[in-house]
Amino acid sequence: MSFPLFHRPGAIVFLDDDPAYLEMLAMVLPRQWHVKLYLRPQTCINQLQQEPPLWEADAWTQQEMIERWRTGSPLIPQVLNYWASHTARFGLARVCVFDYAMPGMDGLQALGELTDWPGGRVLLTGQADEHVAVSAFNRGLIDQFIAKQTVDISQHLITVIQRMLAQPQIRYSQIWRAALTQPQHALLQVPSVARQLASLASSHWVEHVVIGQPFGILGMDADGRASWLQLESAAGLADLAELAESQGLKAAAADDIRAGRHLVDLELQQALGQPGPARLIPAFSIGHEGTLLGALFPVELAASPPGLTGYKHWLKKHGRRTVRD
Amino acid sequence: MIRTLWSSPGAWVRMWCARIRAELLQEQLVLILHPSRWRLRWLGLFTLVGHPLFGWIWGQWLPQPYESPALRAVMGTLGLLLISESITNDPSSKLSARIFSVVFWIQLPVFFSWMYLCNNGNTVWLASFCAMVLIYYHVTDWRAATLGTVSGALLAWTLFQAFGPAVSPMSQQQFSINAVVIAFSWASAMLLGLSSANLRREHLQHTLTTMGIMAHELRTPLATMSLIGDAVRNESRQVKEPGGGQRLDQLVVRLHTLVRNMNQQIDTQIANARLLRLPTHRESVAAAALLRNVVKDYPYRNSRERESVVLVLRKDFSFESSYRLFAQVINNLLKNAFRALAATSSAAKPGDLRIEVGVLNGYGRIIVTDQGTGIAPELQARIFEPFFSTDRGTGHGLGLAFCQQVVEGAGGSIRVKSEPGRGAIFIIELPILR
Repeated sequence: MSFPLFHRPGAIVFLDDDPAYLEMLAMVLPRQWHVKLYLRPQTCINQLQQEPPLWEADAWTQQEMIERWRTGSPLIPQVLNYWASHTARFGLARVCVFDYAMPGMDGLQALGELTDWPGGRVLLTGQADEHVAVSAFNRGLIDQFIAKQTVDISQHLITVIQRMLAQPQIRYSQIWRAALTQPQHALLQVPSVARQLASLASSHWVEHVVIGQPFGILGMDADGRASWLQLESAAGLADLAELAESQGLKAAAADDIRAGRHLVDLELQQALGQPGPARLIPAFSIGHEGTLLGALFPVELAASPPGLTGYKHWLKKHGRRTVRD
Repeated sequence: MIRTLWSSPGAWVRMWCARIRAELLQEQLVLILHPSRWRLRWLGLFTLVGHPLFGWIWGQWLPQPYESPALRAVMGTLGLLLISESITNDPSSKLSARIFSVVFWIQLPVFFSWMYLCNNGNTVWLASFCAMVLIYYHVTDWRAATLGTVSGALLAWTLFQAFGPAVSPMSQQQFSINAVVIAFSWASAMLLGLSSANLRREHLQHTLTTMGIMAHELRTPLATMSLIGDAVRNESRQVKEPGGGQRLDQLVVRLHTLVRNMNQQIDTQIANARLLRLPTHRESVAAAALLRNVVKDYPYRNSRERESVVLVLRKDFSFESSYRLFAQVINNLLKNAFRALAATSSAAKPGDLRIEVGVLNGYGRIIVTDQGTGIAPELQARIFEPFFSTDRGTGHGLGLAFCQQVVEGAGGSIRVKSEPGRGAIFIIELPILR
């Protein structure tokens, strides 16, 4: 697996004709998921069909950040602003799970209506419909099918959806790839690096963006606290130490940086335009090869734009799980 | 599809060839049609008694040019094979099928062709031969019967050439008449045999589909039940948290509701499956009370379904039927209505399912109106047939057949008015009990 350059939570949509089943799903699915439950294909389709223009507008906003970065506007404050102002981004659905057997319209017909919708598609089937699901899978109409009689179905569903949520979205990867140099991108592709970054990201953040200048990952946790994972290749340590010295850091500190024991948040401060006393934080190695070092710096509240409230806050406001008839 | 078939006759021919090949080779060969013990015994008895009897009739009473008591004795003896224990004990075994086929091949096409030829195709044996063909197609698979008739006739003709009595040659005209009559009866037998083979398969298919749907209907609540299990597991870990115990109690209530609904579904299936032998118990049933109870106890899937039902009591009446069966009739109608409502694109509103009880022209009327998807006109005539369903995916087609049986059993009638997209109205009219 590759580490996604851009990641954020999204909604998971369920369509089933049995209200009792949906109500129980509402109870067993992880609390941190934004779950939308639909009883009628048409309502669900109408809702999802409104999304492609929103996805498009969102991608456009991200593309514009890159354009502005090219003309000299640093990315970190832009991303923080984007997070503060575009809260509707959490409402876009990433995965839909449709039941196959429904009166009026079956799950595949319903999926067929979603031609432009970009998310992942899962079909829930009974035993008798398995051949339908297999043929739909082979024709590329669905990404996955799950038999409703699967033992411990909720755990299975959760695993499948989590895997789909963790997959990079191609459109966004393409946009943010432009913010990285080729060597930076190659570093992220190293399997042990990608693995460790993924586990770091999932333990600290709900959403993140990888950028190249300065090189690092800007992430935000569920409570809306942003932090910056400064990344430094072993080859770049000397340059960083030099920069630190030129900014008035003591020689001992510069030696620590040169030796890879500490990293400094000078570049972050520059990007945020808030020069202050430089912070030194112990560095850790990322991946087995020892070619990449990282240190996690919190982004001070003063530097965050107003309105950066985070996913938990948004979920509390919008996340009530009701079955929509 | 049809247009492309018309425009390319090649494809049309290919399609039919494929169908015929499938019919000839792929379908299972059923050598004994309806292999029951008693049917075999009766056929054996018929053979045993029939041959000597007709030997006497055509030999003594109404003598024909040729008759052979010895041959009749042999044929009659063949009947003993059919009655024998080994075949009646296990009519569906391979050995039984072989004995059965040989016995009928000898006593039907071989023997009758021989007699026909020896009697020079006279009126008696022309008619008997035609009857034989029809009988043959009724006792065995149409493919076996066709093969048997051809081979039996050829064998008889060969034997006749070698050992048969001398007969005067038949006139050209008589030959043509006989040929036409035989061709007619043979073609009819083949067609009927083929169509009843199809009908048997169709019935079997219907039964299997119905079983599948019933199984599926029970699986739906089980899927929910499994999620309840997962939820209980999650909650039991957090039972000490505030509200934890209460949430567990709610899950228990859900579980009970689900089991009640499943039991009701099973009751419905059992009642519907007894379509052909409904109990004849009769009592005086008050329409208003019955409908009130059914509406109250129906296993609604959510509160919106419950709220969409409006019961209008204009005038109460009593009729003679079984309370339990009639409650099932209304249950079936409600279930269909809810399914039609579920298939529409918007949520049900109060009054989308309306039940009226009233009296018109001296007849009690129960009217169930829904604002669901409706029924196409060409289907309306068939919906009361057993195994006919407008939705073969989820409906087994027994519900309305059951309704009609019960309503007609009470001396009443049921009919439907509907337009696609504009809902359906089911009208039950019942003679009032005074």
